[in-house]
Amino acid sequence: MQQVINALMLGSMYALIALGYTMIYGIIRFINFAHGDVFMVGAYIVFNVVTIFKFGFWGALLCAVLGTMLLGVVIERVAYKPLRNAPKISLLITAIGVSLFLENFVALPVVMGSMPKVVPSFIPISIYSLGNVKFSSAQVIILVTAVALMIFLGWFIRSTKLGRAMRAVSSDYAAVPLMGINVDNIISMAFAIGSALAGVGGLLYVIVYPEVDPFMGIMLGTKAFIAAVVGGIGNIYGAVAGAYLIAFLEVAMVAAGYSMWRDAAAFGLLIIVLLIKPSGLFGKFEKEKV
Amino acid sequence: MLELDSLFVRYGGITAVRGISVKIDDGDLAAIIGANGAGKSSTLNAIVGMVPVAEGKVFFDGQDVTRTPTHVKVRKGMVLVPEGRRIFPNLTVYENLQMAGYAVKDWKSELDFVFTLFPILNERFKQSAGTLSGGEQQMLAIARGIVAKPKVLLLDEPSLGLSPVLVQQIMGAIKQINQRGTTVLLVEQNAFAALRIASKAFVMELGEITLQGEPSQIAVNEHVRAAYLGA
Repeated sequence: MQQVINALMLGSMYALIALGYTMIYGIIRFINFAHGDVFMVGAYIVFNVVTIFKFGFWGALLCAVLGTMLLGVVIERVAYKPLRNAPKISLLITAIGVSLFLENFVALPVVMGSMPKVVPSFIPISIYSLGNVKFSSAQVIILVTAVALMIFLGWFIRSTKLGRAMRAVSSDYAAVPLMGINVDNIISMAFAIGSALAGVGGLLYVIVYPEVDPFMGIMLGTKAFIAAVVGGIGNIYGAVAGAYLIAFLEVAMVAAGYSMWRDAAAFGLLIIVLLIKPSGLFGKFEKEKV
Repeated sequence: MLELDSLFVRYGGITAVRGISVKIDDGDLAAIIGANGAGKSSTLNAIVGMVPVAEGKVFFDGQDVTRTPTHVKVRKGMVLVPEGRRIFPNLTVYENLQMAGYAVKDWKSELDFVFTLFPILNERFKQSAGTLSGGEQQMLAIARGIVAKPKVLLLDEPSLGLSPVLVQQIMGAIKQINQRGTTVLLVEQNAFAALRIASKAFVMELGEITLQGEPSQIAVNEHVRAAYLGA
């Protein structure tokens, strides 16, 4: 039971980041490889505001959300938008470039330095027990925040004007301007929302694992990316399902005493899913449009 | 209200539209007819800005809109119903109409007219648009055009792939839209159907306008009869 809670925590974090991958892919058919680093920047923002300004949960949340939102929009405008009509491979390489830039920029001695830093505790922790299962207020916060955001995102995409426009862009990108809609704004909004989710992911991460380092986004970003692909990239429910699936698999490996194998298991799952159902668990096969 | 001044469209080394000049007045139902590859769709796409204008100018309501982005033109009242319908298949019929009304104040006010023209769309309201038949999809595409409240509605091959009965219904609807006060520019391979409803006609061949005038005169022109009317 304790392991189930652990898996839920890990899965929630993967899910928040996987949602960003899948949203951006759904809209412009492109994997934003810098997404994991946006998560990392979110975690650093939290580190800074809680050490310097002694902010609590809400202050940290607000700063992480606004900061990563801005970062996501700037990355899109500066690095990706000029390549809107370029071959996809140029975009992909640019994304890797952005990723390396963010990691090494943060690692600069004058910025944050490359050494890991400990995040001081900034939310009151109390431990509850239910029968013989123990859980902390931090875990409750994480699960509630993640689930609330997922429900919000589902509602947003389904029922709001902007969400509908995002689905329209995803369905026929070129026809959207004919509706009097500026596609660039819709894409910026997708980056803003996706990045903000990664920022919240960063916040929740440092609540459970109170340490930041400039390269923390690589593995977590990769895992979240796998989750999005396993679930069927472009599908937000698939991303959530994939995230919890991978988290449960990893935690099960650890619980069974094979903790060295947890990453291998996650990547192995990806390979198996790609072999059996290349479009992912919830994905639909679609032909690449020419 | 819509004027093309020696418009050129080029794709790499190929010139698709060779300096055409067209003037459409308020209330016109103008038709550009011509064979496949004559440059009709390129002309429409260049007018709305889906493809760049290589040379020449586009004037709309007296303003030069040659380089205005597509979504801005739509907001100014120049709306294209594109070739191949381009409806959003994963959105419902209602959501497709909502998208068309995205930039329009009080977009629902046109729904009554849409449903008198195409009652079937009312029945299919909550259905996802991808499940509609070809004719219904064309109706939805035109309905989206109406909801956008255009001053000028551009239609690219609305009869493409439809049965003769449906072509008649679609053409009738276009006529009604025009009678309600919307200027229409229709591009058609189906010259017969287009000339029946048009108030002004242009014949396009190899990127140039070779003939223009009253539809009744164009319809009896021997060259046109031989080339497009199969007579």
